[in-house]
Amino acid sequence: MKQGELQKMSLEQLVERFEAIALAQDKAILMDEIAKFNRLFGQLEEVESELKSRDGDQRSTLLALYDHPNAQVRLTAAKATLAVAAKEARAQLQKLRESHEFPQAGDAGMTIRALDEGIFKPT
Amino acid sequence: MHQADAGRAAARELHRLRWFLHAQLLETKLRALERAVKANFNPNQPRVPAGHGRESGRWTDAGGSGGGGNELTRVAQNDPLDRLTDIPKERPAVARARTSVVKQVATQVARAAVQGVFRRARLVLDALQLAPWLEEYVPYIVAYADPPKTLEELQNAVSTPLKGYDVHHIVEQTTAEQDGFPRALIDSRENLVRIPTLKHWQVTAWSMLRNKNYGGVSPRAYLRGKSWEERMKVGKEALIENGVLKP
Repeated sequence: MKQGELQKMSLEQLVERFEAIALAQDKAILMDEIAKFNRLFGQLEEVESELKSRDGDQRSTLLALYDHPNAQVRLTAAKATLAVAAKEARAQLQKLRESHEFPQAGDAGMTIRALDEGIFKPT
Repeated sequence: MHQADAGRAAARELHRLRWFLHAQLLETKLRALERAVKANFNPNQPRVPAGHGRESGRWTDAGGSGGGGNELTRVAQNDPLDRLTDIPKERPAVARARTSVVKQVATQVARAAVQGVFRRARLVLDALQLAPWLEEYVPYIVAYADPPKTLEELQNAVSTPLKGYDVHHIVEQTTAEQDGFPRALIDSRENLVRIPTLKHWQVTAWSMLRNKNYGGVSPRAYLRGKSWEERMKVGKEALIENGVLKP
C-alpha cells in the first residue's frame, strides 16, 4: 500500500490495518515464512509512521489493541506505543513475557532487555 | 547430572508419559462410553469437525438428541478440546502445514505445563484423538513443554541424541563463520546445547525476523561484526526468554 493511501485513512482504519498486518505476521511465524514476515514488518512501520505524523502523535490509538486475543497483535501494539505510553507499554510487555504465549513471550522479554540496556530507544 | 544419567532420566520420563497417555486414552474412552450409556445417548452422534474454531470437536445437534445430548454437550464443552482449535483430522500433505499444527499443539501443551503433568497429558490425548497423525510428533510436543534447565544440563545433554531435541549453537554458526570465528570455537562445548527441536526452530526463526529492538534489522543482522561475547550474551538471553535456559 502506498503512503498516499495511508494518508487518506481514518484513525480507525489505520488501527484496523495495523491489526490485520500483525495477524498476518502471526500466521507467517506459524508457517515459517520469514521473508513474508519481514515484508509485513515494513508495512507495519509505515502504518506506525502515519499514526505518528497525525496531530498529537496518534500512535496512542494502538493502546486499544492491548486486550486483543492475539499475542502478536498485543506485542506489536506494545512496542509501537513505547514512545507515547512508556509505562503502559512496558507493563504490557511484562505481562506478555510472563504469559508463556510463545514465541511472542520470548520477544517481549528480549524487548525489555533491549530497553534496559539502551539498545532499543523508542522514538 | 552425569550425561548418561541425564539420558536415562529423559528416557524414563518419556516412557512414563507414554504409559500415562495410553492409560488416560483408555480411561477417557471408557468414561465417554459410561456417560453415553447413562444418558441413553447415541455415541455415534456427530461432532463439529476440526477447522471450526472453538466449536471443533463439540457434539452437534445433527441427528437429533434428547436430554442426553445436552449432558454430552456440557461434558464436551468442559473438555480441554476447547483449547485445541483448528487441528486437521487428516495429516496435511505439506510439511510446513504439519509443522504449524504441531507448533500450535505444542504451545498449548506447554502453556498447560504449569498446571501439571496430568493437564499436559490430557491435552496431548485430546490432540491425538482429534488428529491421530500427530502421534509421530508426540516426542516434539512433549519436549517443547520441558521446564528451563541449567546451562550445564543443556551442554551435557549434547552427547545424548534424543528424538524431539536438536543440538543448538548459542552463537549462530553461519554468520559467526562468515565473520571469521574459527570452527573450533563455533563447535566448542560452551557453544552447543541440546534443546527441544521446536524451541530450536523458534529461537532460530526469531533471530531472522526484523525487529524494532535492533533498529529494524533482525537480531542476526544486528550481531554481525559484534564480538563473540556479545553474541554469546544475546544467544543465552534468547534461550532464557524462550523458556529453555534457567536465568
